Amino acid sequence: MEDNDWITACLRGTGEEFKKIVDKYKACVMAVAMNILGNREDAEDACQETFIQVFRNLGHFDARLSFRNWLYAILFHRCLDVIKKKRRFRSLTSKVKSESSGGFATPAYNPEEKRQLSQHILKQLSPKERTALCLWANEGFTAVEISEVLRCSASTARVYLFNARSKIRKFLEKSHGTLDPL
Amino acid sequence: MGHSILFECIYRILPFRAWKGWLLRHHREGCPGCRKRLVSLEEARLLLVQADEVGDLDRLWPSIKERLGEKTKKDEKSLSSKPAMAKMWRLAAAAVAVLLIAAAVNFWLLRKPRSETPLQGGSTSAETEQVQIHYVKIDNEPAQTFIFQPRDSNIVIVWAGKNI
Repeated sequence: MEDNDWITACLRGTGEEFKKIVDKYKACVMAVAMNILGNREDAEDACQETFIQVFRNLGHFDARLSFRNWLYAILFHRCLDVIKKKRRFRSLTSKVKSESSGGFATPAYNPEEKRQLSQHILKQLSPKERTALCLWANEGFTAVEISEVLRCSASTARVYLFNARSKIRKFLEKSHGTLDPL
Repeated sequence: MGHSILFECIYRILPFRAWKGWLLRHHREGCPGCRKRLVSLEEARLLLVQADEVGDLDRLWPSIKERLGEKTKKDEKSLSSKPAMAKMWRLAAAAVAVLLIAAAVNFWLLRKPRSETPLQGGSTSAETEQVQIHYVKIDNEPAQTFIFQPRDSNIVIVWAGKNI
């Protein structure tokens, strides 16, 4: 069943129809939110807000556009809201963590260390760069699709993605680290 | 390697994102040397949380459903309270309008009689009673008689002229 069919069913029926949309996208949306926000609690809140906003605005959705891109655009803005709310707190914690993160030079990591390294590397990126990277790597988005989510031009989306990839490469070279699969 | 550094310098110098985007599109994305200076898709995936790594999401739908229910109830409440509020506002506006009209009419009625008060009031008629001229004669002949009272004055002038 296509997204638009589900949306039509959702608009005609009750909220239970919406569960199918949530079930289809919840894992991908949660993964993107976790990558942007860096922690599960905030990601869960952002996901909830996103799906609620999607449900309440389904009537305004233009069926000619991609539902997936529209959903991720809403998620991105909800994540930005969370980041804005927690900006002061996050700047404090990132400072503390960066001060205590001198030990990532060795390439052998256990899963927990690797998760921390990933979080540390992703924190070097801006929210837009993280989003662009995540959508490109996880969802296979093109620059044009990323631009629809970030509400910018394709050139700008390309720059965000390039900056993200470049910063990570430089960070890895600097720390002599590799990211081999476990 | 050298040209990658050159392009990186050009990329940094470019002031606008649109120009940078153009450069990326027309060179760096296709150049193997430049692409080596970027993290690959596989490496990026290793860094990021994947959809199958997010764990248990069974709580998500119940909480969304609950919050949607709460919001719907709130909306219904606000919708039901709207007519009562509108009625109250209408009554208040009507009361204010009635008070304004009453004040305007009162002001107009109090003001009007002053301008229409006659110059010769009750006291003046009393004074005129004191001035009684029965007959005026000059040289045993009836005379022409005129009585004047200037406005806003108690003086009464009697003018008598001989009939010629």
